[in-house]
Order: sequence, then structure tokens, then C-alpha cells
Amino acid sequence: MIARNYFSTHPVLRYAIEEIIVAYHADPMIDTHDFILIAVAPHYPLAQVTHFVQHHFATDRFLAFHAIDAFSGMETVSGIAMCVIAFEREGSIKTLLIEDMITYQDRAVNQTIAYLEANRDATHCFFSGHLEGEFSTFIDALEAAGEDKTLFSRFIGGACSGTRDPLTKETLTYQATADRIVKRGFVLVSFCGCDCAMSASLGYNPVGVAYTITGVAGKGNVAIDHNRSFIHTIDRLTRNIPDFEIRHLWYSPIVLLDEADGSITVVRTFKAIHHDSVEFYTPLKIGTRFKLSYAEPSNLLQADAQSAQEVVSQLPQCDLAFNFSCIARQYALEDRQKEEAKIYSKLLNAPLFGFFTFGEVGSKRNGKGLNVYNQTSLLVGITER
Amino acid sequence: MNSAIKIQLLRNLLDEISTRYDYLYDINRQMLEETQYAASHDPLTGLVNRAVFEENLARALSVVKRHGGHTAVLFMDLDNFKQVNDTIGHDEGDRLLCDVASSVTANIRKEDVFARFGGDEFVLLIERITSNVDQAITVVSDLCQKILACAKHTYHVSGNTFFVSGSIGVVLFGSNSTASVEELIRHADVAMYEAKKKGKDQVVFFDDAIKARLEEQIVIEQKIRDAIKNDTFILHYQPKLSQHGVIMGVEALVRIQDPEGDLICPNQYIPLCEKRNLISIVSEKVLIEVCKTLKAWEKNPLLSTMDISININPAWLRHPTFVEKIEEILRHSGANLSRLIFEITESIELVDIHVKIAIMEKFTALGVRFALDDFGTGRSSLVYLSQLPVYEIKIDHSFIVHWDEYVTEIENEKCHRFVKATIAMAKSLGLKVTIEGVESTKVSHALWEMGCDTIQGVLYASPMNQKMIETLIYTHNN
Repeated sequence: MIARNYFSTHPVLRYAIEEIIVAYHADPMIDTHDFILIAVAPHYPLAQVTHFVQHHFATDRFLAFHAIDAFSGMETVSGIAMCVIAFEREGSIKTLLIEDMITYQDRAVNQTIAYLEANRDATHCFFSGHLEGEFSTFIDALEAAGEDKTLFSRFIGGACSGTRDPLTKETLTYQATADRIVKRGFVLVSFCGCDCAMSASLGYNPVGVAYTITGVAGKGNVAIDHNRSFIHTIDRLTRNIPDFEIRHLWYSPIVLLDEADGSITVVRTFKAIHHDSVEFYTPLKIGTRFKLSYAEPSNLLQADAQSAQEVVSQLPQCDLAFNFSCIARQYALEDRQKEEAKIYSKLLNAPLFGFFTFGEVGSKRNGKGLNVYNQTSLLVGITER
Repeated sequence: MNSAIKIQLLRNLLDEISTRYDYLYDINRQMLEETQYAASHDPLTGLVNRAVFEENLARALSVVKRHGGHTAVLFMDLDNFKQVNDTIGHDEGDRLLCDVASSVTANIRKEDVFARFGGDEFVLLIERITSNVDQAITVVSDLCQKILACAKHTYHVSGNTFFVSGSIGVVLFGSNSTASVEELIRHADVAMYEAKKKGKDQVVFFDDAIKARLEEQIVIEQKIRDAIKNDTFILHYQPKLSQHGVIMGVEALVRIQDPEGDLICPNQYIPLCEKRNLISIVSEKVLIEVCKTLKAWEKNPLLSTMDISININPAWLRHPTFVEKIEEILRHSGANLSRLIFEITESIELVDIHVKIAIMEKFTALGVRFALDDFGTGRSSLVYLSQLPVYEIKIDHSFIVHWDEYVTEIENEKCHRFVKATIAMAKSLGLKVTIEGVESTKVSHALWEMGCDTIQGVLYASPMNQKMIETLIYTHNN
């Protein structure tokens, strides 16, 4: 497989696409394309992107999606980032498009399970709408419906990231193909005839005592604190912080602990603090034990490097790598944000593509089942057989 | 995030944990120390950052006031550093910064505070210098020479050689200093820019002359902001005449009128506007006014044939909303855009040329024409002439300014030949040629003989207000 990255940050869409076209035609490494992935910053009109791509590349085989920032090789860009993929041997790409995963959740789950069963060998990249966090309820339903949990062992991706449309008040996290714009669903891009290796990079160090979630409300993402111990902790945690914003706690998210061995499973990002509860971006389950955590940018980058080494050890030769990295993690990386892409590109020695997500989805560490992650970077390396 | 917020968060976290687990205290204390280090140091070079430097400068200021002597702030910026990043890559750029940081550190005293403010800006605080001013200047000058030597690097890329050096601005102050920490840093920064202006790789001390210029700049900046707020920009128009004395068009030039009625000229305020990111605001206001004039002139048969040229500042052209804003202004104006000429300079980057062509073609489609302004003073690349959709070139007045004076005959001869050849080349490409800054009939005769299309300069008319230019056109073209 040949994968090549191009990007432009020109503010005028037409010129941005034209800059990419010029770079593509001037690139001696590639002269054809089987599939194109396009990360589109939300200030560009998505529908126009599909029009330009169809016009210039003469293809319907592409997926465009909203991303506040995208990874294009070693660069982190807010603009148009394009990954052009051409297969050389057994490889191919299939797609599954679900237009509405919330209203018709059962149908969407069944269709997805059937698709995953029919394509067990493929590596599935998940590009989803965020839908104010509701995408994670679909993932929970999907995981619950899959009797064979190994179905998800090669499943990775995230919720697209966008800004709020001032007119519709809707957060723009859409996906677009040649003939439709998906606003409430997702697209699975499945790499067939390819080997892959995945890893999740967290980097947050657990600190202090463990708490237990005793009640949940809202969409399952509001942790009720009946004995108020955690709320008091949060009060003390935020005292004397001038002009406190919830984002300040993104350096110190909670980490959920594995029931069996107490290790960290996933991170959860603070969304709001209420009188007797704390709201997170992703649902929680009653009984889950968690701790506060903390990370400096160097801790996160160190975890990234370990993650990349893990992928390299499983897949020494990599044709293409994807990074689905949480926007809150990027916040905590401060001015070292751009180093994540550089670390992955250098260690994997492969073209890197990906984007800032509003939540990541990937298989559990044991490969059985799915997790919705927060503040995590999910890395996958893919090689054509 | 503000590092103070992060440190407070970590303190709270640490207090919270330590009340529960004493044995974790040391581990987390180390975490706090690491965070404090990260908040006070530049991660690339390990030098202290701006916050720490300012703290030390505040302390040094009070010490020098109490105990006398002199203290110096050195502000160094690397020359051509961008070229390293752009041609060799950011990794090499980072290596260069680390190299400069370590070699300068090796040449200063342990107690001197050396900081990186970001990018390629380094700042050094030297305390306890002798109270004798002349000796203090000598000491600091000698040290600056050592630092300049540390900054010098040579690169060979694809057969080309380029050099990196440093420009240093120094502010030396004693017990009678009334400047604040911010002012001292700004003064050193201003002196550094003077060093760059003087040709780079040198040292300039902040003195009374620079201070006067700085104060003048502050006054002008306030006037610009007032003009933006009160909309007191005034458009003046300078005519362009043909060989037969017919006014073919005008160039719109913007002036600021202060409350005393004095006019401030562009060479005084444009560089400041560029520096303070005000250029797009000013330029948009000018374009709106020009469009209004065009619209007003449409109704008059004599005025409706006039072209109006407007300068497009390179910084405005690079502005992300340039295309959208201009399109919006032009669309709303309802003016006949075929009479509008945008003057662009050669200073636009060649690497972006295809983007610029696309932008220009967009406006060409609306009827706007383009002129290449100050031709001969920038890169004078033939790529511009061959690729950009240009209607006219305007040869810079510097090529004709000495024709009357005969400073050296050889130089004059060279300028003559350049102008003649440029006119011939432009003609063969079907471009119109205007020469700016014509001040004598002798020069104008020579230019007409060379085939120049229009001439602009005080020989015919200085820039004037709208009413006067309209009267001039009536009398001249009738």
C-alpha cells in the first residue's frame, strides 16, 4: 500500500484543494488512488469539499469528515488534510455507512454486527458524529450486542471534532461521502487484506485514593456523589485557582480502574461540576472504581513513544498509521502538541494520518470488547499483505 | 494554560493526597518540582523563560537603584533564522537554538540571567557592571562581540551558502533609571530592531535618539487608533499623465489627519500598522472610500474614464480573510470595477505564487486590474512578469532620482539602461509602464523617448484631495 499525505491551510477552500492537487500531481511516489480520506476543518463547507474532490480526483471512493485539527505526516494542521491511498497487492477498502445511529439504534447495531461478522479479517476505522456524546451510547449498545467480543479486536476510531454552528446551534461533526452527508451516524472504513497493530497511549499517573461511583444520571455521564466525598475533593482541588474553568481539570482527569487488577482501563474527562455530582463527557457505570490522575506534557509524550514502540514490535513494517487523539489530551499537551505526530511518524517510519477527536473508540486491551476512551491517543499501524 | 493555574492545581492535588497518604508526599513533591521547572524554563534550550527573566530584572532594578553601578539588558534575535527552518527544517532550527544557547551560556558568568523568550529571541541580564559609563559600555560591547560570535553559523544547502548571525539591542541603566521592567525590555527590543535595520550582525545601544523615535511611534500609533475609531482617514489622489498631458488615472494615497490638522504620511504609519496588525483594518477602509469615489465618478463623463489605483499592502494580501473581505467590499460597492487597479509589490513570496495567481485571477474576473508597484526594488523576478496576470508595471523612482544630479556618471548610465530595457521588455509583454517620482522636465523627456506610457510625480502634481483632483481633471482633460 502506498499512502501519501497532503495538506493546505489556505483559507479559501478552492485554493486549499488546488494546492493539494498540485502537490499530489507533483508527487513522484504515487500516480493512482483507491481511496481518499479527507479531514476538513469546520470553517470549510463540507459539501463543497466533496464537490471539489469528485471534480479533481474523478472518484467517488472517498470519505471527508470534520476535524478541528488533523495529523498529516509530522504536521498538525487546521485546514484540509488528505490521505491518498493506493493498494499494490491484496489490499482493498470497504465502507459501511450508517446514517442514524441514535433514532434507529437497534437497526444500526444489527447492521454493524452483520458487517463486522462478514469482514472479520478487516481493520475497521470508525469515523463518527459526536452527537453531544451520544455516539458512546451506540458503542455501548454495539459492544453489548456482539456475542463474540473478538469481533471488535480490530476496531479503532473516534468521534469527529467540530465547532458549533451559530445558526443551527449544532456541533459540526459530520462525515461526507460522494452522495450524502452523514450528520447523525458514522462511516466505517475497513482495510481488507491488511495486517494491523494497535495501541492506546494514556500517560496519566493515578494519584490519591480510589473512589466508587455510587449513582449516575443524565445520559449516564453524571456521577452522583451520595456521600459527597468526591465533591469535597473537587472543591479542594479547584480552590485558589484564579478564573477557574473546567478545562483546568483536564490535566487531572479521572482514571477508571480495572475490577480485577486495579490497572487503568480508560480516562474520563471532566465536563462540569454540579452541587452533588460531577459531569463527564462519556457515560460511567455504577460501581466503577476510579482515581484522580495527573500528567505533564512530557508524561503524555513518553506514553506516546511507548505506544509507538508497542505497534512497531507487533508490526515492524508499516505502510500507514492512524492517530485518533483526544482534543482534551491535546489541550494538556500545551505547546508540545505538535510533538505527538512527530514521535509517531519517526518511530513508525510511516505516513501518519488522523485527527483531534471528541472521544476515541478502540478495542479493549485483551482484544475482547470495545472501550470509549477520553484523553487518549489511539494509534494503529496498517500494512498491506 | 497559565502555569500559575497549573501549579495551584497541582498544589491542591498534592495537599489532597498528602493528607491521605504521607508516603506519596515525596513522589508528588517531585512531580510539583518538575511542574515548577517546566513552568519556568524553556523546554527546548533549558534556559529560563520570560516570567523568570522579568522577576530577575525587577530584582536587579531595585538592586541597582539601591547600590548604584550599571545593569544591562541584551536582546538578541537571530538573523536569517527563518531561512534555516524553511530550507533545512525545524529540527536543524532547534539544534541551532540549542547550540546558541549553550555557547552563549559558556561565555557568561554563572550569575547572569540568560533567557529565551520564544522563537529566536534571547535575552541576557548582566548585573554589577562598573559605575563608570564609558567603562560599562566597553565591558558590555566586548561581551556582545563574544555573543555575536556564538550566533554565527554558516549553512550550505543545494549549492547555496547562507549565514546566520545575531542582532543585539542593549539597554544600559543605572541608579537614576525611571524605566519599568516592561519598558527596559521594550527598549532593548527596539535597539535590536535598529541593529537589524543597520545591516544585522551588530550591536546597538538604546539611546536618546532611539527613545525619541520610540516616543514618536507611540504618538503615531495612538493617532492611527484614533483615526480608525473616528474614521478620520483622508484620501489624496495623485494624477498619472500621458505624454500629451492628459490625466489617464489617479493613485489613491491615504493620509491620517490629526486633530491639529497635520497630515501624517504613509511612510510614518504604514510600518507601524504592519507591526500592530492594523493594516487590514486601514486598507479595508481605504478600499471602501475608493469604491465610493469610483461610484460617484461614474455619473460624470470626464471622471468616469479615470482609473483609480490603490496599494495592496503585502501584509494585507497574506491576511486569511483577504479574499472574502475584498470580495464583499467590491460586491457591495456597486462600482465599475474595470476602473480599479490594485497595485501589488514584488515582495510577495515566490513560493506562494500559484496561490497569489489564483487570488488575482479571482479579482481579474470581476474586472479589477493589477499593477506591479516599485518594480526593480524587490526581487524583480521575471517569474512575476511572466506568470502574474499584471496589466501595468510601475518602475520605482529610485532609478530616476539622480538623473539630474549626476552623482556618478556610471551609475546614472546603469539606471538609464535599466529603465530603458525594462520599458522595452514590458512593451514586448504588452504591459503598460508608469514611472513614479518624476520631478523634472529633463527626466520626463528622457522617459517619453524611452516609450513610457504614463508619468506620476510632483513635476505635474502632488497628491491632492478629492475636490482638487476633480477640478484638475476638468481643467486638464477638457
